[in-house]
Amino acid sequence: MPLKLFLCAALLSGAALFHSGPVLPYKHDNGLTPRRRLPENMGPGAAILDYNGDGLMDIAFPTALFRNDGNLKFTDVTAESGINAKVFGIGVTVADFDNDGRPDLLVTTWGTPLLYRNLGNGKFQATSIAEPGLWTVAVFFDADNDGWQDLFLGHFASYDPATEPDCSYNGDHHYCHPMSYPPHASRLFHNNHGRFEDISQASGIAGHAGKVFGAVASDLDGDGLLDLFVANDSVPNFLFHNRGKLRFDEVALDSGVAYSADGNPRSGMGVDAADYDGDGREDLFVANFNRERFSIYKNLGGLNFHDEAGPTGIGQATQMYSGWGLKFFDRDHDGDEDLIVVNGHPDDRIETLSRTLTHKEPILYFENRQGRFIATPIGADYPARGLAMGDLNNDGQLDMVVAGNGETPLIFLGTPTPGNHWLGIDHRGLRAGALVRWSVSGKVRQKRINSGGSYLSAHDPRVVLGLGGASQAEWVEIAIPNQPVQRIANLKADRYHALVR
Amino acid sequence: MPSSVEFSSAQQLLRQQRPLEAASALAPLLAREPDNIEALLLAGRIELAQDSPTRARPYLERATRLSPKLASGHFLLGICLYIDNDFKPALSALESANVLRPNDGGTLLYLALTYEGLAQTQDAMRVYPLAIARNPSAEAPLAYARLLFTLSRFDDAQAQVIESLRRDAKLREAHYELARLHFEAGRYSQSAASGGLALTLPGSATVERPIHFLLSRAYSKLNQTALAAQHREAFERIPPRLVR
Repeated sequence: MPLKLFLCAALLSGAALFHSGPVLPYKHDNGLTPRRRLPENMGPGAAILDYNGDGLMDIAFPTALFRNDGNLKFTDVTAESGINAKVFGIGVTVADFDNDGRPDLLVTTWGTPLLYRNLGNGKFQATSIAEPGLWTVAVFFDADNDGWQDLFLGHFASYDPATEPDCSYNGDHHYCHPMSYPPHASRLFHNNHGRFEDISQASGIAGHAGKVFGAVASDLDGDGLLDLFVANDSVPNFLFHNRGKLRFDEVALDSGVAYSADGNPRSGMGVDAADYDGDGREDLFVANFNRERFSIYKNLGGLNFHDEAGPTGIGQATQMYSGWGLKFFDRDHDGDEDLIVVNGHPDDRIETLSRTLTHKEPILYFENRQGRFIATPIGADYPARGLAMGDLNNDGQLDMVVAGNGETPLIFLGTPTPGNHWLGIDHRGLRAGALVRWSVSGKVRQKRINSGGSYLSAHDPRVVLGLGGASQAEWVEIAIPNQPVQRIANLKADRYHALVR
Repeated sequence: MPSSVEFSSAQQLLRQQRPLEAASALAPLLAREPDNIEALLLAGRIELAQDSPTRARPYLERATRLSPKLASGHFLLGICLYIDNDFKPALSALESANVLRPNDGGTLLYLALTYEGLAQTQDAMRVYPLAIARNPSAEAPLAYARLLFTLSRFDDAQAQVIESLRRDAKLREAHYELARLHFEAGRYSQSAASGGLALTLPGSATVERPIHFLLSRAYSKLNQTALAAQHREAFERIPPRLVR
């Protein structure tokens, strides 16, 4: 191969973007049975957090916790931390719900969801927060801007294993289509100074039964209140518009995000919100099932959205895949939002039914080139579910933890883009709804902080800003709802800045 | 062509859209002559007519195995696999049919559809015009229009819809596609008119729900809330189509 062509191919390969990281001594137990029960193929999620405050990002799964000891060495601390390894864990998310400065955990389960208070001594104290069910995603967000993280707790369908439908073919059981199960309402809890009060009815959330897999809280209409977008499987998605005073209206149909263009509900799984086209408004992304194409909803303003899967290239690139965890992030530090999506067909026996589809599917990285996304596969095909992004070695490159159903998780380490610089913000007050603006060589960019997203997972809470070729930002502004704007001048590149108000 | 009474009877029953009776009529012949190619092909077509690609598949696979040079066998097998969403083997069967019987409009149309199913968009874009040129049906330009719509190439899609309507002015699905294109362009009155016309035309019931969905949105944009609510109610009353 001529040298020039070879270099081109190498630059475009997944290996040039990420390389394999450490292998954790952990394998997800999906409780697989010959019957193929609904909850088995859902999990797990993954979370990146600094639970012990040592400045190194640790890794959590619903039933396991790994401490980062530096140099990419991880120690299993599940037993000593108080994390219950015996539950049927599905998702895991992170927030400082009691405002004590320490990240707490919430684990969703097929069973009772568990809220783990971080005691600060390496241990967590568990309390149940709702009745048993098939709880999937949890999103902490400050719905009323009172400084306390409220909680959306997503539920999948009503499920009773005793009445599991028979979805066998040629004698083999397969996972049933989600249409086989009735939808179920989710919950909203108001955080009253660290105590959660169920406001599902009063808020309007309980009036909408769904089959929730993904959720993201983001200020979608720029009114200073966090709205909630919820992806459902086989029933319409929800867009809960925050009307203030902890009241939400469901407006997905009128907003254009409930259905496909033909009015069919899709199999919404992973979600995220970000301003991918730089117009100042938060757009939405939903990973769907194969042949449904994934959705990238451009925010037109006034809570109107248009699916741009065609012109962005997302539709064609994702047509053959079933997507789960995902995140917009600036991989190459050029200042725009790239995207990563992890995939996998939910039926581990799909290859007995189809010569076209496979259980393991590629992890897809999409580079944002002026609003068109160019796909590159990363690593080998894998039955992925959760995705947590974060900087495991504090080098400014976002790494990824990919949790596979019934598998040992994968860790990929981000590779620097030659010539480009970054700047990290470590700010405890940086919660969903905050707006970060930064100026580089006179050009101002902005990034809104959201909460939730991906699939059953939680990302590193720090923010990494792309500076392109510049070695510093002239200024960085942080605007947190109900607080004065904080501006810091002349921040050097290629390091994290621990900022406090 | 088998001259048996069973074959003729089954063929006639299928033409009369009585596939269950056709299958019963053909069964004795197939039992007697399991390698009868024409009977196997007819059995495959009968199953396809009953929306049972899974049951059609063994007949058609057997026919193509016994007679690998028979284009119609590969073509029917390709259709069967396409309907079953197994696009990779469908492509292989249709490519075989295309080699054995080049430039056949039906084969080219299913080849284009299969490329589209496999997200091989460039190949689909190359084959659709050939299929349209060699296939007089209104379905071919309509299928191409749908692909162009997903790519947001709305003007090109509209040209194909117009060609489809030139071929069959009463094609319900084409009027629905036109309504969608009007909606995308912000021509909500025209969208409502085309959608309303589509509702009155005979055709596939599967498009009924999407038409009401579109009309609900179009009337909503036109601030005709009663009509919007009426179509929304109709849309929500019809169960959605399963994709998996």
